Amino acid sequence: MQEFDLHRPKTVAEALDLLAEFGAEARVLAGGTDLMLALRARPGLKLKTIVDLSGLVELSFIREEGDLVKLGPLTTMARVAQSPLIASRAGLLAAAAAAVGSPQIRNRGTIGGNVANAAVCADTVPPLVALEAQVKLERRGGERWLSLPDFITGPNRTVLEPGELLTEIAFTRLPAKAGWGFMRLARRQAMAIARLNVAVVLDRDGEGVVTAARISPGAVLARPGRIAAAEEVLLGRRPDPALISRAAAQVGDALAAAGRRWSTPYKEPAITALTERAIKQALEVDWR
Amino acid sequence: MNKLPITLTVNGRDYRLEVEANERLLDTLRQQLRLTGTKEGCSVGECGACSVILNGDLVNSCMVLSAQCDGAQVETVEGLGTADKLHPLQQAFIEHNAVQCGFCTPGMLMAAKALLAKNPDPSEEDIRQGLSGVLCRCTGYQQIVDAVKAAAKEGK
Repeated sequence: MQEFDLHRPKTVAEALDLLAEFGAEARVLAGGTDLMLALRARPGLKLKTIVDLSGLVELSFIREEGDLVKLGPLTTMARVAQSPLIASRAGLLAAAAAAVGSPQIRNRGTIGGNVANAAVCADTVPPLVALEAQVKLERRGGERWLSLPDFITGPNRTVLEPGELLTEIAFTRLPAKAGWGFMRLARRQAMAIARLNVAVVLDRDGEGVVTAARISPGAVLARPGRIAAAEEVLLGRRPDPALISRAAAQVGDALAAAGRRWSTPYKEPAITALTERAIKQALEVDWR
Repeated sequence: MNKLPITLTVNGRDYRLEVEANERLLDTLRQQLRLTGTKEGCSVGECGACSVILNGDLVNSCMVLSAQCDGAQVETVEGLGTADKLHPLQQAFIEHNAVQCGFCTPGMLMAAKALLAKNPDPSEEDIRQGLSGVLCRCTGYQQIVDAVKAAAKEGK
């Protein structure tokens, strides 16, 4: 294990002061399920200073304000997975949080950590993209809000600057009759990192015509985002099996277009099938 | 590297400790407190051998810094029962031959305890989910599931 100095701020203001003081030297520690691993496994990662956020109880919350759902970044995966509010307002996020790791990992790992670590396989990112979530980045004397596709710029890369801290994740709840789907593929059921995942949100009018579609695959593109070509196949139409297959195929095409790798021949049909299942899952709700 | 003062309650006993900034809860338990029932397996949060209960939640003690546990309540396998009076889970593990090499057993017992504390009447699926973060390299899972089932029944 590497050596470092550890600071334990008690308030967000104190944490922002520490981050301003240490700048690029400092990393924050939340649940530790990624950083503790990196500290052992990556000797190249030299960190002088770690700011432990576990004392910041003010950053662990799930709140509803009007149509907005607000999550504190220190909210654990277990709490997101078990929250009745998340289940009823954004069920796909609860499903994704429940799929992460093991009970031990979900009890420590936080949603803010999952987002800020920005792994391509992060399970909560596709649902948050499909929910059009925004993240709040605070620094001493300022803040900015960004969408996830603007926040995450590549594998384990974000626009978070030295001195900044992710302090809130917010999104508008799904319409009451909207359907959602979340599917993931991993090497085994427990404890495995997702090879591929996909989140789908669909809304339909009284005739069953799709009025809103958001399709967000994970571990497919270099940075998170939606597949507009797939959404357009469904928009304004009544889904049938052929249409669903056509929409899903657009996600497979997007993966191939992102650059062919050794895994592409395997991933392309797999993400197409996963998307098809996620769309079907989203269509299971009664829209009338 | 700095040292930090913490207080910790382990199995009902209070401790005042100084911990290194990079000291893991697992290290504090095994080296400072000599509670070696908690095992170090993979050290990266995959195997669950180091599972303990921290403020009521099951965690991998290899992924938690001790300095993050200031004021916390910790339960380890040493707190379950005594040689004279075994915990019902320990008794059930013996009766169902749920121990082979024994390395995963402390983690399995703590995972089972955390599960039963939150869900005293678990289905088989609940039990498998509850134990899913602990690997048994002897692959004796069925006996472990049976033991947890029996202990749950006993507890009713």
